[in-house]
Amino acid sequence: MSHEIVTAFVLTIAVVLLVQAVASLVQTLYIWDSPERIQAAGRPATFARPKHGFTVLLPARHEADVIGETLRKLGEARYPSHLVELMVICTADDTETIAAAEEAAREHDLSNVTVLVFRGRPGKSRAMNLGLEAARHEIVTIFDSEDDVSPEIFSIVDTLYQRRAIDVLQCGVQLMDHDSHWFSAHNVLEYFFWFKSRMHYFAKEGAVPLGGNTVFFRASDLREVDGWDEHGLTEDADLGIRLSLAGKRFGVMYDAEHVTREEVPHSTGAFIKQRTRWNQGFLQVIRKGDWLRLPSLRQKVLIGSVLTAPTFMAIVIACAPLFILIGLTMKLPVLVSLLTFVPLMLAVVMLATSVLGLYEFGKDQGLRISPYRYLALVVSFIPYQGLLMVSAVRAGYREVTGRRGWEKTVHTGRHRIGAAEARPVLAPVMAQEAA
Amino acid sequence: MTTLAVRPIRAHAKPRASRRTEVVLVVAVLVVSAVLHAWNMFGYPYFENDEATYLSRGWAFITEGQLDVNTYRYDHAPLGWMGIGGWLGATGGGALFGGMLEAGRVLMLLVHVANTFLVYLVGKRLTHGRITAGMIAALVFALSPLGIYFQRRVLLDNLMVLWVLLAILLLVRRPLTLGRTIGSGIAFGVAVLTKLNAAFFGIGFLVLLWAGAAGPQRKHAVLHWLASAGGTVLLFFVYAMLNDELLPAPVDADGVPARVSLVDTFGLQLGRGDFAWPWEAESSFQLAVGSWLVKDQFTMVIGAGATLALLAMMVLRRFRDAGTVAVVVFILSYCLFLARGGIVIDLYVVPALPFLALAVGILVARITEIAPPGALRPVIGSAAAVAIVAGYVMVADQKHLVTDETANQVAAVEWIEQEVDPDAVIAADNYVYPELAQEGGYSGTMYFFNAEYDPELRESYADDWRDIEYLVLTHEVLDQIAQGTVPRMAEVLAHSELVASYTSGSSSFIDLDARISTNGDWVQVWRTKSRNEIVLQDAWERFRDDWLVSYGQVLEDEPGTTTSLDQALALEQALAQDDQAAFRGIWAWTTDHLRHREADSLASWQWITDELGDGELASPDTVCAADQRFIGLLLDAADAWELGGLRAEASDIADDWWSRCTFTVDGLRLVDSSADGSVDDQLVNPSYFDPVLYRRLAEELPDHDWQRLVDDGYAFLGRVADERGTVPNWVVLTQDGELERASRLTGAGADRFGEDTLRLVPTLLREELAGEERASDILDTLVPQLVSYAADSPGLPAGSTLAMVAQVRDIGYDPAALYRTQVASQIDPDTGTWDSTLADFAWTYSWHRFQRSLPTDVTVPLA
Repeated sequence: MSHEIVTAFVLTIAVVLLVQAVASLVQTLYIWDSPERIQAAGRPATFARPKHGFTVLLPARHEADVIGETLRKLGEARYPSHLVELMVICTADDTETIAAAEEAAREHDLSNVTVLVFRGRPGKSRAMNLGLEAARHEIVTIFDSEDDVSPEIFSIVDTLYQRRAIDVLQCGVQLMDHDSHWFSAHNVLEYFFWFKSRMHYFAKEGAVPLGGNTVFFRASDLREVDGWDEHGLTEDADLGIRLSLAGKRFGVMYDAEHVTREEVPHSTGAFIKQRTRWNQGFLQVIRKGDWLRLPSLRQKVLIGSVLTAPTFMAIVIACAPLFILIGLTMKLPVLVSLLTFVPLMLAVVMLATSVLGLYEFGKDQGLRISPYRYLALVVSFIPYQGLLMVSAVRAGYREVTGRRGWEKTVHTGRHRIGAAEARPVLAPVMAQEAA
Repeated sequence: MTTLAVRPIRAHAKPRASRRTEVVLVVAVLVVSAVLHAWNMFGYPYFENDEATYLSRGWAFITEGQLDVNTYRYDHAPLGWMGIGGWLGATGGGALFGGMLEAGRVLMLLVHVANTFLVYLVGKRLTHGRITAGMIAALVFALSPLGIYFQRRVLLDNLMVLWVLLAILLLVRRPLTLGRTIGSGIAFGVAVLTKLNAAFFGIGFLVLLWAGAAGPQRKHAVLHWLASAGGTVLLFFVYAMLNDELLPAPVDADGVPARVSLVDTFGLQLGRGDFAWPWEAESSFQLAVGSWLVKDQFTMVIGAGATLALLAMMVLRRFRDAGTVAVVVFILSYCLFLARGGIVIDLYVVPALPFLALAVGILVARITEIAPPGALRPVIGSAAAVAIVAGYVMVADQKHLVTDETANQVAAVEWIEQEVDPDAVIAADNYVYPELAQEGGYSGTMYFFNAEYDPELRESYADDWRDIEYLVLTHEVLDQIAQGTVPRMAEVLAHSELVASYTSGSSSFIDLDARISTNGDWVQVWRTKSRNEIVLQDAWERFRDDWLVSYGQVLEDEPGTTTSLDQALALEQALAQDDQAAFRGIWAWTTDHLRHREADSLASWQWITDELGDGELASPDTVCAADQRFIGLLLDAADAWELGGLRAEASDIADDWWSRCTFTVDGLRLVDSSADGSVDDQLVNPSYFDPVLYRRLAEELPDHDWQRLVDDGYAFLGRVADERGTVPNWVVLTQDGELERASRLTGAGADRFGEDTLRLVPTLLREELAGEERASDILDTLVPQLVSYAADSPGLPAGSTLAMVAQVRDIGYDPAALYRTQVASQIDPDTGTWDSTLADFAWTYSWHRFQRSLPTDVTVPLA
């Protein structure tokens, strides 16, 4: 391999990493750029008089244990109940869930609960498409049966729909248990930055890979784009792109008090499986090619890069030994070597930003973060990148070998109907290169 | 939680003057700033070393991709001259403005105008849009003579100020965004990489950041400002690391580092100068402040006064406006740098000037606020502006507009271009470098500091200062020599002669011997002497230091003797080395102690000094060889130093000498050995015969028949050689014209070929080279005898004489080899001269003295 080719190769990788790191930082910091943005990203200070009606889709499968509690909490929402339709959707053979839902409606005196039953192949996307057909209200939204939803969410969303020119609204979802596993803090911060900042950036650009829940749509828009794709693993990201294509306007709201709270995967294995599923879903979205029809080049690059980022980073990290070999055996031009250091420095900046993010997360949520947690965050940074890499490689492998089925996670007795996680689309910034 | 009690800069300041008025005022100040800067900017101040350093490095960067013309030593961060290189590239090197130095100064004009504008903008923003603050600050910045002096110079500090002001401006614009914060951090990083001492402004930036951002944004702003500034600066260290030039270099056995190293250089820079607390009178800090006050008292006083006033307002009135706090912090933190106890160079004031100007601007704006808003405030502001302008017109020195300090510099470069060979090895003040080495073809031109220290360059002149042919001497070079930082250059200067001097119109007090110069508006070109002349110079210094006692007595040891020939040897050297004082002393001592003969004015030959240093005349007799040399030396001294008295004295001695030291026997007029008044048999030392001297005296003193002395002397030598088969040390000529043996008078060996015969040889060789056949005839006889004599009596006298003969005649010996083995081997490499006795000195001296009269084709390379 000639010297020039290696130099060009390293230079190319370094430039791509640099661009990606800068883009990632820009997105991560988007909301903190100015006080105005911080202000605009939060919830409205006052609520408007309720106007819009909401149909809440609650796709469920064998969730008799929790569906009742979910309905109870949604029923406590501070919003006129005639403007809210709580629609539990499950297959006809899931009689326990049906019974649990009807029982809950009676018990808590909920007049606005409907149970939609269908036959045939179960599936979250199919359930939601059916729910969409039956939805009574103008705004359709999805919650997961285990979600901890703010009672003011409808008032906030209704106000935003009235005051802003938006068609789709993504509200914040936040993992909360930052200290439950070694990787938790990183996972929590992915959500934190994704919903608090990066998604605003995507919304501004008019191309948003949506999260899985706490998303609000106009029913008419969903029908216009034929609802959810029933074949993909990440139908929500796919839907976001199709809505972008249809020219819909996106809004994002993240307010610490009103986020939908979730938990991190319960084990490293579960994390890898979940992340593999998402990454494979992205690859499917890429393969499907809708994103190539986005109107502007900027949007195409944005979506294309964000969906391929995990795979790209996996390749880079996997190539690290090669880079180290090049660095040890070849004398590259100093300026090229110098350039390769910039992404590395930006990775350090990103880590520092994460530390600051953890502090802010704690402050937002009123949690005390011990100094040890910050240290752990720094120490686990590189192992966490490894975790992401493994997931990305698995996803690529599964996609290439045609294993597109749902990878069952060993949930403790709960068999959930679909991917209801709200998912940040993460572009890791670990930059590994030949020194 | 930190609670810095600063009032945030208000987001929306209402405009206080119409846009049009503001534009007119700003344009007016910028035009004034540009005109004051540009007027006479090629003439004042003189082109300084550093300017050329940065320009030549910039040019090397843009043309060769190198960070320095030679090895980059990490003495400064490189971004400044990268930018300068860009400018030179864009303007065709020096082509557009008549030279790189001029092109550099044009760039500084642009930078200055930009900086004035930035000072205005920053001043305005820091005071919530008060035009008064910006205008006053910009005025002070533009009018300060101290500023103009340094801002015209191509200095990294001026570029650094540009980046620092830009970094501030990005932080004081509202609203503060992270984008601008990061931009500001990068700009500040660039400022630091332009001139490292920008780092001392860091604290002021933290004040601006803290005040400019609030809530969740604040920590991000601080983090990312630090990250972007730090990251930018870090790249410099990474660059050094990638080049394996970061960590201290390993040193070899001699303590010479194997390569350059950033850490080593930084350590060296930090250790520059002697540590002295700023309150100590001799501290670098006080000296610098003194020189600033001389250049521009007005700015220093109003700037310091305004700073103290603002500080007092902050402390006493609790007036803690963020902008004011920041400016005061900027000034104080930079003052801490200046007062750190290390070296303070005059130009270090440059980065402080915009902040002193801002302090004045802010103070004036505060004062106008005493009046209620309305028309009165602009009136007060205008009055202050008028007062400041008047102050500068009346108090400040205006020589930057009229003085020409560069004419001598330009003329010196032109002289070199006309007179000096382009291949010559030139160590120079760097101001000549761009024009000679980079624009012209003078590839052997070196910045004197690099010539001293750069291993590569030292190799180019074989690490031997004697191979440096020229030294372009200026204020800066002299200063470094005086400080002892460039010992090689000191040697060059000590062993060279002045060939061109441009000091007309200079305001500098120049005393080269004391190594003193007070201003850089003069240039001299010195040419290094030949190796032979260097040896002779060092020999003289050794001779003078070791053997010249009292006010002009040659005395090797106490007790000991002093001879008239020793005194002549001393006079000859003092004359050749242009040491008039020594010459006068030696001659005075000779006259005082040896010239007391009753019958004539000739010198007695011997003086004895005892253990206590007391002396007395040991013999009243003369040695005619010494007296004839006195005549020649006095005449030469009279010519060299235009001393008519010496000529008259020489003429008197010559009359006595002619009558007392010559005699006629057998029709031949010959030189006596001594004016002893003997009339019977004459003792003759043939080596006293000096036809070269007589030919010269024939021109100067035509009263005597010197030519006869030459002709008769040759005839006599021919006769002696015929009769004796050689020229012996001594011979006696009887009244009857018969040759007799001299051994009865002067002891054994007098009638043989000996050391006195050897002394005749160089004279005959010189005659032969001048075409004198009679000399050749005698040499034909003597040379074979010399060869065998040298074999029988090896030693310095025969060896050094043989070495001279081998240069002129083909005797089967390599003259260079003879020189090395017989002459050069006597030289102590440390002192560059001979360490032996006075007698040995005379022989080695004789060889080197002989080289002066040789045509170049017979000289040998000297060690």
